[in-house]
Amino acid sequence: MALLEVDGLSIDYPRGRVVDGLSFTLEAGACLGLVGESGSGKSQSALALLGLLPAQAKVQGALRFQGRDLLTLEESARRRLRGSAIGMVFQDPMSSLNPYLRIGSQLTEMLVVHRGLGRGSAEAEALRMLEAVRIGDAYRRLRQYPHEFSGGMRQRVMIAMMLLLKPALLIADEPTTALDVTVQAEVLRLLAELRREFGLALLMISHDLGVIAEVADEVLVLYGGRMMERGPVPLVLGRPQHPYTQGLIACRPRLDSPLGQPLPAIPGTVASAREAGAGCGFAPRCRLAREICRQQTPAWTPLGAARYAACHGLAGAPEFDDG
Amino acid sequence: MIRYALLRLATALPTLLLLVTLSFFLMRLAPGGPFDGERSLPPQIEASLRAEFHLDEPLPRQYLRYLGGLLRGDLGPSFQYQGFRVRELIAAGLPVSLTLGMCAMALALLLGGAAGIAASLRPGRALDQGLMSLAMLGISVPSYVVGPLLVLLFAVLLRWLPAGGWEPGRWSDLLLPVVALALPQIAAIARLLRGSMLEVLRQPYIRTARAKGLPESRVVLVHALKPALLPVISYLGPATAGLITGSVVVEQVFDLPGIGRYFVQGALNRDYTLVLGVVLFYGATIVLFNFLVDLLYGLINPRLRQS
Repeated sequence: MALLEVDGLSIDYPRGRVVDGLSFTLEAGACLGLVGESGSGKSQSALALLGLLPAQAKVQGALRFQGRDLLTLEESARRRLRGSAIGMVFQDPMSSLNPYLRIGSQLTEMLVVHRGLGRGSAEAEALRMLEAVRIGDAYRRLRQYPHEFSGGMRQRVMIAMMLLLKPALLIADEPTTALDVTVQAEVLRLLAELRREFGLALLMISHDLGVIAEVADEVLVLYGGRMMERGPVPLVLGRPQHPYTQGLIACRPRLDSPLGQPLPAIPGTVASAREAGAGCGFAPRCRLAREICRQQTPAWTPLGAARYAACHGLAGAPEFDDG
Repeated sequence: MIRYALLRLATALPTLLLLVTLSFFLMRLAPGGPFDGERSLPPQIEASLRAEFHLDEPLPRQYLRYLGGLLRGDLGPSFQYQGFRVRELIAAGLPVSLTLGMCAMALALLLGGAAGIAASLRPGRALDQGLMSLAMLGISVPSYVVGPLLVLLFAVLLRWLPAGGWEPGRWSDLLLPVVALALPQIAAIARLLRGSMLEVLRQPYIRTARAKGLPESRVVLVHALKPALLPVISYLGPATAGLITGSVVVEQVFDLPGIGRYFVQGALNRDYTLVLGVVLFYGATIVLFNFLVDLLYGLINPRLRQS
């Protein structure tokens, strides 16, 4: 049994659909990277897993975590899973910690609420965890407020907080985007180490293929709320099959690219919140788009071991299969 | 911290001096004098009264004389309550006014806070709209309308509570005036807190708190309430001013022997020293409360504490 099975997840808002038919599985201890531009539905999917979407969002499909369907779970049971079985680290460590509460109380309340620990033992646990994410002088740090920490340290505090209860799954939503490059590398290394140490499954959400290449085993490329391509990281990044993935890789800025040339970009803007059906989501921006791309949604086609893509242009793909 | 506190108190002195100066001269612009009554006094008696209270001196000299008295901690004699110093009158009214004001403030924080939080949890729903309409009413209707209406309902028609008066230790005397005084503040605090709660509940750190699996009560009362209280705390300064002006009316309506009533009677009788004394006392109270509010603000907002 996989740790997490997402089956046909769709999220609808009154203004339209933001995630359309997302399916993937994540084994215990594995790391899947969710890649896409802003508006591709990555963060929405993550919030759906936690049950933190706003009330007007309609969620369909099945989300099975440790064999239990999250969507049919009672709210109180779901709340108890949050933080204890599924942790989440957010993009902006500056605003994601409560600026009005001491770091210590933000850490220990996890243990007090979920485990019923007393103050003393909760603080001892918090100290250990701060040391595990390599925050020095942890005892004094517990009494400080978030503004007394640098951005990278805040993100490490955030990670420590979400690992306190040893969750089986950690969702990291652009955990390094708001950080300096050097700090980014540190935080990624830390995440990789903690993953090994705690046997943690990691769902890494990023728009940065470099981040994904560093930490993920598998990658799932999203565009406009739909799945474009999926497979093991070296294969997808090394030999991308979907024109969108190819475009993403071509757009990575390189140090050895000739000076004075504009950075490559995929023309057009992200189509978000589109209606379901009616062709491939990427067709309006795809340089290879044909008539069929605008009329039929391409099927999710297996391309060998654990590799899939949804594109009419794939070699050998069945032309008239409506997925 | 202590240096900051001393500095703040020192800057309050020019404020109070300005207040005294303006009040002193403005009051003299008003027609009439302390000894004009329905029946005019014989000229010699009035002249000797004026001489006794130094009202025959040129205005600047009277002003300096008053300031000199202030330096010695003397607010002067009352013209109307013969034989009483203004300081004694204020001291006599203070327990009543203080009890009234503190009770009203406590009630406003409690009810206004609860209503503001309740309204913010489901914005736009029936509870929110109901509470906010009530709050609008509470802000718009002045206490000189609410007071008599409360008396009419609870004292005259239902006969549950006394219509006025004051017996030390009798709490039923306090109930209606406290409610009348607190209503506008309850309404203001409810609206203010609702707004800031809505703002705070949108913050990323609230999403974090929910992602941590905290019960909703803890998310609201610990993670959201503390930052949401900041605007309410800064409002407590102006609220004190509102309670003071309100108490002037409410003490009159409910016939309470507080400072506010001396103020009204002092103004009607042109009892210059009494009015000046009360104005100065009110001014000092407001300055003091603004100062306490600043300290409290710094205590809650950790980012201000270091600077």
